[in-house]
Amino acid sequence: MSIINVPPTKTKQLEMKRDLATAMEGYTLLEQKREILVMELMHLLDRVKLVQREVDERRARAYATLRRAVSYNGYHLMRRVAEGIEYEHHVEAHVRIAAGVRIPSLETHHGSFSSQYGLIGTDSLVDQTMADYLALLEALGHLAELESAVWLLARELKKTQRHVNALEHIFIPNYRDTLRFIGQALESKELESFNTMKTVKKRLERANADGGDDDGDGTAQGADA
Amino acid sequence: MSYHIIGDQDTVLGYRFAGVTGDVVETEEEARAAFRAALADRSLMILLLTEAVEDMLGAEVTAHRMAAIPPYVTIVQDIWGPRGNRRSLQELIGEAVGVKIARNDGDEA
Repeated sequence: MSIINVPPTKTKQLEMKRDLATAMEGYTLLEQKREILVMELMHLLDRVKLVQREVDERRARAYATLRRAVSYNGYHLMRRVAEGIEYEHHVEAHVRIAAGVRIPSLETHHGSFSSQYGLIGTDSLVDQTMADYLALLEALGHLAELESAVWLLARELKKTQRHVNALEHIFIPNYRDTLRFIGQALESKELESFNTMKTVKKRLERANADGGDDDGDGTAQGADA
Repeated sequence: MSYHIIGDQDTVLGYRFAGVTGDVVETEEEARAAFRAALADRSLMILLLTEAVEDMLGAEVTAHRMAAIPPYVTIVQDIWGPRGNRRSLQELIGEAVGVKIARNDGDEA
């Protein structure tokens, strides 16, 4: 609990009241944003699990097939075949905005296939390798989309969390304390001035009550002087 | 050409079969150079990195991820198997959300 160092004046009090209202409004908004982000992430979590499992399975299969293919055909032949393979992959990216975060969504198409080398002299394992890797690539496309979405959302969530915490635990309590302090200071000042006024009034009244006397005294004093 | 991979020779060979172009790198300098070249290439949409390469590049990969521009990075395992001690996406989400949600998925129960 600390108090911001400001002069305890009426103007400042009004100013700070306005600021506090803005802060409260911002806090509500940020809190909502945080909830949306958490929901988005939890929503993604299910898909991540699914896609991750798919990638793991397909990767295990593709890597195993490749190892077998290499051991049957020899590394150099595989290399030569691989050099000639060309696919026209197309990936389209669209950007979706959720809670102020730009989330990419990717669409992958596997285009036409062409090989410089004939497939004569290679066995079915080579074909299988290609098929398995294509399947893996498709799953990886989904993973890439999810991965970037998760990273971005997670970062945004952390940032929002920090803002919410700062507002909730530092900014708003500080302002409340300071406002209370200003309120007290103003009140005591008012009391003080009220007392002063009262004293002045009392003195004036007394002065008025024995007005002639006072005047007489004054002239007498003046005459004396 | 929308996919690209940076990794060791054997892992890259496999992805060549699916028509993915690749850079074979051995050292950190090579990896860094290849990564920067890949980022500069406008035609790339998805960039695959092997775990070994990701470890070599470190913070640079994270920085690119935060930029939210293509190519979008995905990490793939080396053909030699996992390197262990990696933070999975699920863990990343859990860390950001700050709560652990226990749920019986059936297969994990």
